[in-house]
Amino acid sequence: MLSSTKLLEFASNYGIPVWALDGAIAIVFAVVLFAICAISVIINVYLLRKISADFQLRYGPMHVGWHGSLQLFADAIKLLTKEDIFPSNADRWIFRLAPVVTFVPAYLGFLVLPIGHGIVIQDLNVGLLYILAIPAIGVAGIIMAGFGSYNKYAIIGSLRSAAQMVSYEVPRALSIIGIVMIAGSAKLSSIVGAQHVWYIILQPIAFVVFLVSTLAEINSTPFDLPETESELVNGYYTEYSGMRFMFFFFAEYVALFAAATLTTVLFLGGWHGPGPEYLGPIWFTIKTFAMIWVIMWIKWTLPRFRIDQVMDLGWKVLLPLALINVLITGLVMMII
Amino acid sequence: MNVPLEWWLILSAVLFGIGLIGVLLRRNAVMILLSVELMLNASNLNLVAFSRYITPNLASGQMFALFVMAVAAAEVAVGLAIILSIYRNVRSVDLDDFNIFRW
Amino acid sequence: MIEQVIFFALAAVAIISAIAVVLSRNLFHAVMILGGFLLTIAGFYFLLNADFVGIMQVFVYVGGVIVVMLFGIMLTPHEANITNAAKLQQKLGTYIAVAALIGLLAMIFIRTTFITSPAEPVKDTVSLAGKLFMTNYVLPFEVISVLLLAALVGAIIVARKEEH
Repeated sequence: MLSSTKLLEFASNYGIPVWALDGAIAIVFAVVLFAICAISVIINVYLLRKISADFQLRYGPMHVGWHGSLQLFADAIKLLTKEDIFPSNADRWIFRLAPVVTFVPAYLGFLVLPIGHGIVIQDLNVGLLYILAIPAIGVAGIIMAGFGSYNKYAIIGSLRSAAQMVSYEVPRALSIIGIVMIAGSAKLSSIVGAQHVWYIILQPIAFVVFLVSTLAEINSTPFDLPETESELVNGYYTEYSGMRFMFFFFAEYVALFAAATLTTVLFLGGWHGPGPEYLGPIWFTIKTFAMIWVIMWIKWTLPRFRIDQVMDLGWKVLLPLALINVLITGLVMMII
Repeated sequence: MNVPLEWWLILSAVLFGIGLIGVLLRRNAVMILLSVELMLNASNLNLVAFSRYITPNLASGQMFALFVMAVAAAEVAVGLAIILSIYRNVRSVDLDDFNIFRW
Repeated sequence: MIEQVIFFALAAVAIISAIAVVLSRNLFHAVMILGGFLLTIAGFYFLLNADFVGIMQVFVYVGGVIVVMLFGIMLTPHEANITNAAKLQQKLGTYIAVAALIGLLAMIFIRTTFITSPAEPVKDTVSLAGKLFMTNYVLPFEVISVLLLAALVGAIIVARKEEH
C-alpha cells in the first residue's frame, strides 16, 4: 500500500530492507500529517476569532501582524513560557497522560481520509468504522483529565463530556448506515467514488442527524456543556496550564477540522468538482472550509442547551430519526 | 503466517490465567468484572487465531468473537448496575460484605 | 520476521498490562490500564487479518465498556486505594493452580498437531461479516439483539434509584 513499485526497486538497488523503507515512509507521512494538522489549527483559530468578531460586530485581533494574523503565534509563545502547574492532590500519571490521550486520536483520524483521487495514506476496508471508533479513545483522555485533576469542576465537566459523547455516538453511527447502504462499501475512497450525486441530496435526514451529533462530539457551542465557562470555569481542563493546556486546545481544533473533512467526504462529494481530476484536493479544501464556516456560524448563533435537553435531543429525537432514515433508505433501495 | 498458531494459543492461555488470578484473589466487585473482561478477551483472541489459521476463508471464529463482544458489553452494563444497586443497600463493593442472605 | 517482532512487542505489552490490571491497588488506574490492554488486543486482531473485529474491539470496548466502567467507579465508593484481602495460603494456592492450568494448556497446545490451512485470509472482512450475519448466523444475530435490549432495560431498572 505505502511503497510503490518504483520505490521498492530503488530500495532493492541500494540494499535497503523493505521494512526500513516502510518505516521511513510512515515517519514522513506522520510528519506531513502533523504539519497539516498544525496549519489547519492555525487557520481555524484565526478564522474562529475573526468570524466570531464579525458575528458580534467587533474587529477581533488587530495588533499583532496584518489584521492580527500573528496573534496565535504570540499566544503559543505565551503558553509555552508559562509555568507548568500541578494541582497538589492530582493523580500525577493520569494528569500527565491525559492531554496526549486526548490529542493522539484526534490526529489519527486523518490516516484514512481521501483528499483526492487516490491520495490517501491508508485506504482501509473499515475506514468509515475506524474514523467513528477512533474518537472513542479521546473520551477516555477527557475522563482522565477530569479525574486526574482532583477538581470538582473538572470531574463534572468530564462526566458531562463522556455522557454526551457516548450518547451521540449512537445516532452518529446510525446516520451513516444509509450511506454505507447506498455506496455498498465502508471504504472512504469508494464512498467518495460512488458520489455522482452528493449524498447531502440523497440523504438529507442523515446529514442533519450527522451534523448535529458531530457538533456534540466535538463539543461545539450548542453542546459545549463540558466546558461551560459560566458554570464550570473551563470544564475538564480547568487545572491545566501552559504546554498541557495547549495540547487540549490543539486537540479541540484538530477535532473540528476532522469533523469538517469527514462531513465533506461523506456528504459533500469529497474531491468531486468541475475541472480536471488533479483539482480534487483544492475542491476538497474549499468544501472543508465551507463546512468549518457553517459549524462556526452555528456556534456563534445558537445559545447553549441544558444537560437534560442535550440527552433528550440525542436519545428521543436523533436516534429515532436515524433509524427512520435507515428504514426509508432500505425501502427506497428495494423499490428501485 | 510467520507466527505459529501455538504461540497465539499459549499467549491467550497466559492472559486467561492472569484474568483468573484476578477473579480468584480480588474481593472488589468492580475489580472482578475487569478480570472477567480480561478472560473474555483472551478467549476471543483464541477464536480469532483459530479462524485465521484453520479456516482462513470462512471467518466463523471472527463471527464468534463478535458475538462474544456483544454479550460482554451486555454483561458489563448489567453487572455494573447490580453492583451499583447492591452498593446503595450495603454501602460496600467488597464481595465479602455481600452476605446479608446468610444466617 | 517483522510479524514476529510485532507479535512479541504486543504480547509483552498485553501481559504486562494484564498483570498491572489484576494487581493494581487503584481502581481508576486499573480501568485505564485495561483500556490499553484492550487496544493491544485490537492490535492482535489486525495482525490476524481480522480488521473488522479489531475495529469493533476499539468501538465496543474502548468506546463503550471502558466509559461505562469509569461511570461505575465514579458512582461507587470513593476510596481510591482498595486493599487486597486475600490470605497468604489463598494467594499461594491460586498462583499454583493457575500456573498448573497454564502449563497444562501449553502442553496440550504444543503436543497437538493442528491442521492449518495455507489459504489466503479474506481481504474484505466487512462485507463477509455482513453476509454471514444475514445468512448463516441470522438466528444468533436476532437473539443477540433481544439480549442487548433486555440488558439495556434491565440495567436501567436495576440501577435506578428506588422512590420511597
